[in-house]
Amino acid sequence: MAVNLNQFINRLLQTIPVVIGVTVIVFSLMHLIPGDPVEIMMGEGSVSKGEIQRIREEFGLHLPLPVQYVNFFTGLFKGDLGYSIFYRQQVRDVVFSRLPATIELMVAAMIISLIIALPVGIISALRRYSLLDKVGTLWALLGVSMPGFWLGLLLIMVFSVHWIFPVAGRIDYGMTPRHITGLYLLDSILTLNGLSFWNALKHIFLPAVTLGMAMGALTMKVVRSSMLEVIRQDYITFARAKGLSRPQVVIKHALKNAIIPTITVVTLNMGVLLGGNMIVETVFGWPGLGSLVVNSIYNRDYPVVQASVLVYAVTFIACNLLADFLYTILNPRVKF
Amino acid sequence: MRKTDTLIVPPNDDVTPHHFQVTLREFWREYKKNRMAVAGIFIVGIFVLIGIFSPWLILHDPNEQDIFNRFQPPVWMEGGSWEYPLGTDELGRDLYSRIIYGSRVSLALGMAVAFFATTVGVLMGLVSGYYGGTIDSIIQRVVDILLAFPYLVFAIGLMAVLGRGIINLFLVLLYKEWVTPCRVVRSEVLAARESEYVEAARAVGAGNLHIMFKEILPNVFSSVIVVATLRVAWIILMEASLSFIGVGVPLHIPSWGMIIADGRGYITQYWWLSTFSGMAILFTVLGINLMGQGLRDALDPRLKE
Repeated sequence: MAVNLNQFINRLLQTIPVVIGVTVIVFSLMHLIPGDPVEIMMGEGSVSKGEIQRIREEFGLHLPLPVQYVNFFTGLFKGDLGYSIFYRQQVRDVVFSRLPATIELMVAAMIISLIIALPVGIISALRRYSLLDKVGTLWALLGVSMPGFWLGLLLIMVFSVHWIFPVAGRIDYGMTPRHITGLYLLDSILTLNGLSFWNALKHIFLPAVTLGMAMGALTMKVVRSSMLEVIRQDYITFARAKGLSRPQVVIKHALKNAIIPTITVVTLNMGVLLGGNMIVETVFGWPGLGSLVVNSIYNRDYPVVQASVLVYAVTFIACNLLADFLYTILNPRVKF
Repeated sequence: MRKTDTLIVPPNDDVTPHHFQVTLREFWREYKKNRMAVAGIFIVGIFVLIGIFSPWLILHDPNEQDIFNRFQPPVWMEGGSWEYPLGTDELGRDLYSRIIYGSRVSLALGMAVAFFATTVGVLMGLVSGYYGGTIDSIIQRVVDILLAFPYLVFAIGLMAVLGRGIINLFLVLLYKEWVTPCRVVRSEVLAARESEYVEAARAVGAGNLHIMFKEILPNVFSSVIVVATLRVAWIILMEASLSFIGVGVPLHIPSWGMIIADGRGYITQYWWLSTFSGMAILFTVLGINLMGQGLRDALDPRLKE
């Protein structure tokens, strides 16, 4: 464990330059805008030069770049992500109000992808070249070849005709459960509100399936290949020879070891989920961080874009860290 | 299995081309075993031809609007005509011509970005892996930072501030794209650096540049080809996603992602608006992925499943 602790600290320290680099890139986003960002955000020609100068000074945009960066960076620690002229609010508040929706969608997508990927991956490894294995292979191929937004639109097209699932938003008006966590599904369970739960579930289903498909395809491939590797090992043959039934061997012995690479890969592939999330939220009008970014691009609300990109990147870094930690914790040979 | 035998070819001019021919034939023999991979090459070939000959294949100017012929259905549906084989969109533009023309942006951008990104990535990876030390640390930290952004988030963020445009798209994708070949090449170079053939080259007095480009590069080339091919598929998907969001190609250039976005508001009534364009993306990307997998199996048997 002592070695592990050192490894952990080392890995954490390695993250520091990455985080700094990320903030530099995010900071410079604002300065890559062709033209004067203040003028663009205020609406060109709608404000006087004096007014623009006043705003520049208010936000410290007249200072030299390195000073601005230091202000930006230290501001992050105080939770200061800037001010959104469009929403007339702190960017922090705008971004955080959208987070629960995004988290809920991502978790739902993750669950759906696992629910499908685990059984398909396991069975197609055990029964190679069976029909399910072929379907799985096709899915793996389509998962990386199909644009997520198109899949979303196809689903809307098919299901909105029959009105099985609503195609926009998180929940119907007036159905919102009492606010506890901001995750509607969880809140409605906590408040024992069955109607809200059902309503929220119907809303989240299509976006979560759209998002979960690509992720599930990747997960399924990993489950399948690591299962294939594991079931060839001697200890599996031994367990079978010992007289254990096939399901017992698969669940108690093989799966336990095959799951390690799966967890790592799932965590590493969070980037797919995070990026896809922006697209899927846009398609389904899901009021989360992703659609916030896209709307803010149209509104020329650059501080919001900047802050959201930062939130995505930091989440992704955290996921990669988590993947490494999980790997070191889980890898020193699972005990039987 | 590395093809180390290519390195022991005597320095005789007429040997090299002959040798190449043989490997190419060997390669094809290996490649065509995989029927899906052959199908992949076929699909990609068709789309490349469509891209090249699109000015002769289209029926209308892809941007020509005809308000009186909005939402025409495809030819096989009631009310459809050969005038507009795949129907028309909300501005009465011919979908068939737009999709045919859209192949140009997708393929050209995909291949151009993949080519330049691979070139940059290979150079970076060679230098990084071969020299190690400070230069390696610097390059790898930059790689780490770029990898810390989810791909699409990074691209959307940059395109949001830079604005639509082909050059901007090219640069933004390139900015992130060189990382993958760089990492692949670096790890291969790290292994090659310790190998006997590099040691042998060093023993006979070969310089660093010679070892990097004449000894190591040919040996990692097959991995590079595989990675570059698969990246084209990814870049096409990214371009389509960016154009769908509205931060991709400029409005006057038809692109598959944008055509889907245009049809988005009407899909419940007019399903064809977004469907065909998505199929074009799907088949192109699928074809490239199949091709890439075939190349991988044929060139790099180590990775075969």
